[in-house]
Amino acid sequence: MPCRPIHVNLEVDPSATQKILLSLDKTCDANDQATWKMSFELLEGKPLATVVKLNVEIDAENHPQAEATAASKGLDNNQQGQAKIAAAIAKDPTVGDDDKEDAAQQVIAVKRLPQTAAPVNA
Amino acid sequence: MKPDMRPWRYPTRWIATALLLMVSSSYASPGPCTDKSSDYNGYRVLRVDVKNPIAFITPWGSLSSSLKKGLRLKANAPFSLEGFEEDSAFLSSALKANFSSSHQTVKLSYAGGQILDCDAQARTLRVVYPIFTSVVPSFIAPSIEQQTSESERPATTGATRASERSLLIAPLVGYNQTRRTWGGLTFSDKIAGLQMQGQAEASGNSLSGHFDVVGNNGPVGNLWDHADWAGTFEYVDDPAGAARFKESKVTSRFSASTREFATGRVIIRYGAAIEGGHQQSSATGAALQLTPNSSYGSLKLYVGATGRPGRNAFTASYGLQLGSTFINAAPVFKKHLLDLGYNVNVPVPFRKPLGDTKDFKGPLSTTVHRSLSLETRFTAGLIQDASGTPLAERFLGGNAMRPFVQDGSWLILSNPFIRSIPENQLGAQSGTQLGGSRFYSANATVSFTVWGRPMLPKELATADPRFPGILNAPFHTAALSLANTYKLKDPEYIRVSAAVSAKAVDLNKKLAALSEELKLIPTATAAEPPLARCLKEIKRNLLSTRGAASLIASQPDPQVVDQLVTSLLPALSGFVQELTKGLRDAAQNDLAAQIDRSMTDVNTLGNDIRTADNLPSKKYEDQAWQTLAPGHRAIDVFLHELNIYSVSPVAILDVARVWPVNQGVRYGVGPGLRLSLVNANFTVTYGFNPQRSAQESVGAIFFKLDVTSLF
Repeated sequence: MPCRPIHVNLEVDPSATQKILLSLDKTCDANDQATWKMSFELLEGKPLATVVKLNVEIDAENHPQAEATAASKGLDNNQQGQAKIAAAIAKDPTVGDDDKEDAAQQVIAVKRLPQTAAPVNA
Repeated sequence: MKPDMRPWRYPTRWIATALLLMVSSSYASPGPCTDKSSDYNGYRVLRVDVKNPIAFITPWGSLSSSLKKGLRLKANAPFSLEGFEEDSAFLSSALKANFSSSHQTVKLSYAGGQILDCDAQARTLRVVYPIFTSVVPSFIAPSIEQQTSESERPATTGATRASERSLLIAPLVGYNQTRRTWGGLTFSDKIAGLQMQGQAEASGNSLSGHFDVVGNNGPVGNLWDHADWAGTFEYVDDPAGAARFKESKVTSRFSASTREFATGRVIIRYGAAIEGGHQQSSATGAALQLTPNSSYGSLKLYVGATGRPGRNAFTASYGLQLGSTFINAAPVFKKHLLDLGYNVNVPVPFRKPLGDTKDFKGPLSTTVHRSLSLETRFTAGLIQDASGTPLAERFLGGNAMRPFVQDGSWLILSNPFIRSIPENQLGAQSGTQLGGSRFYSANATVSFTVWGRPMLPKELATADPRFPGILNAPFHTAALSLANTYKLKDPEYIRVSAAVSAKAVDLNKKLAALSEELKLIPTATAAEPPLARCLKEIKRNLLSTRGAASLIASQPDPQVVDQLVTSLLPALSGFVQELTKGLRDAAQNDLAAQIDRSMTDVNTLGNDIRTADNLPSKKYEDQAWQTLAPGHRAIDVFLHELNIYSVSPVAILDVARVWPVNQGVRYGVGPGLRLSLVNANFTVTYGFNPQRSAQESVGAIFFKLDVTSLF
């Protein structure tokens, strides 16, 4: 099937003082190669203010998980747990940007695909 | 007969809808466009469409047309991959920008892009951008009024629930055998959180209207899940046979409903109203014992149950009114009302409703969704000590429904409803017995969809294999998120979480120790490719694992615990096992043993956390799915049952009697037709009156055109 664009935005507001924004974007280049990008934004406080904002290009190895997240059952429990972990890491000033991005990337990577019996490497 | 002709609120949007209908029939079947998108650069674009499949439950109905203006690809212009990608991204941004207008816990938007009908010879194609945004209404009572509304206004019920109300002003005009030609105005607006609404109608021989200020409250313990309070001014001046009555009153009302019971999808409703004002009756014969002119006041108490189990909907309501004209000789009258209703809507061919936790799935039909619909109603009333009852409060029947209280979400019929007799004519013809003190009426309406077009665009029904699976994502995400929130707030979880926190503190220390031990690996050994890869994975894992342990130590969260014990720690264990094997191969046995011991301690603590955090999640997930169920059901109905327009033949059968007015049992029977066009519905029936008196006509026509705002 030829590559076609997909853009999914998900916002979860667990409380009045917290908002989590997750975007998944699939774009296609002239050679029909897909690129997946994810942005993750955490807003906290009253009024809500951006605490963390990350833009990550998803590794090719995680493309099936990205596709499954966008077109299947959304974020599972592990992904939502990892999103909270990634948010905590992103707020840690002692952690470098690469590591913050990596933790955010795991939000997609930990998606359990239907045929995956064992836990996905985190 | 009571035509209710409300002009459409946004003519341009309706013109757009009509145009959509006209042009949609010209779509060819989607042709295969299997090459990569860039191969179509330079093709001429025949059409560009933005398809929003669930406009009916979202405030996005007009979005497709407004967003189209911002697209880079245009009809009759060359196609370019760059423009195609930009347009899809633009639509995504526009949808996301509007998240702020909703207060839902979970919001999802989807924007895609499809290239259809590619013609290599003519070098033409068509571009469709499917878009979707989810809004799950926070309160939808599973009431019979809702199902009736869906049946009569299939495209709008959800929208009415979901959309933010804005200013609506619309003129009304109609004809009624009792009131003759009449005109009026209806309006509604939301100001400072209060709903203001009103309606006024006037004809040569009648005048009526009401103005309401309505507020609402959220859940209060077990008392109610949703409550409305309202202040209302009502005025009515209507003919009733040779007589007429006037009533003006101010009402203060409160009504509430419980949370939906899981079994049977039933809610209990209750309310009270106190009203006071003035009444006049023009026929004051001695036999009638009517008070010509007096003050008037009453207390109304009402209770009922309504629900939508499966494809059925029912209502059962009881109302008690204690009223007085405050004239010494007149006793307090006591009015009792019983109002029962049952509706059922069966798709043809039959299809079971989707379970509340089941996934949306195809195949999706591209032809009209047919259904057989049955609506029934039985109402009865009794007035005790009726001698002091004003004419406006006596029982007068006909083809107009008079509500017991002005409440748009709860109709309790207070008069005999029969579609073969004009308004206020049943019980008002003898001249000596004006208005009854007892009545019953029973009504049945059957309709069957014979022709129409489904709401779902053909492009989404057939051309995009991701649909309707894409709709499952927000529901599953929201259910898990809500379940987690419910669990977090449960005192039982709060109790066990103390032990979880304590173990997480210990785990964090062990993970820190493990991190330090990794630094003891000689640099040369650590640089060897297999170990280097392993160390990289371990460090990546440790970042999240330690982050999870810190989070749990400060505030246990079931989802974080789940991620820690089912994903992060098993993965870490696997990598550490691989690492220590490599270390032993590199003759670092002591260090490998030390790291193994640390990992064993980490695993032990992980197991302790898993054991401590063992409160089953099922009941919270069930609660979450129950919260999401109304939105889930609405989308299921949309996918498999709703039409953008449809035509249904209708048959009616009514029976009614009012005592003591010497009119006997009256019947109404006849055919009709219902046309539904998106959210405009025109229903016309003719009720024959087989036992008519000399004063009555063959029957009465009953029709209405109603439109509910989508926006």
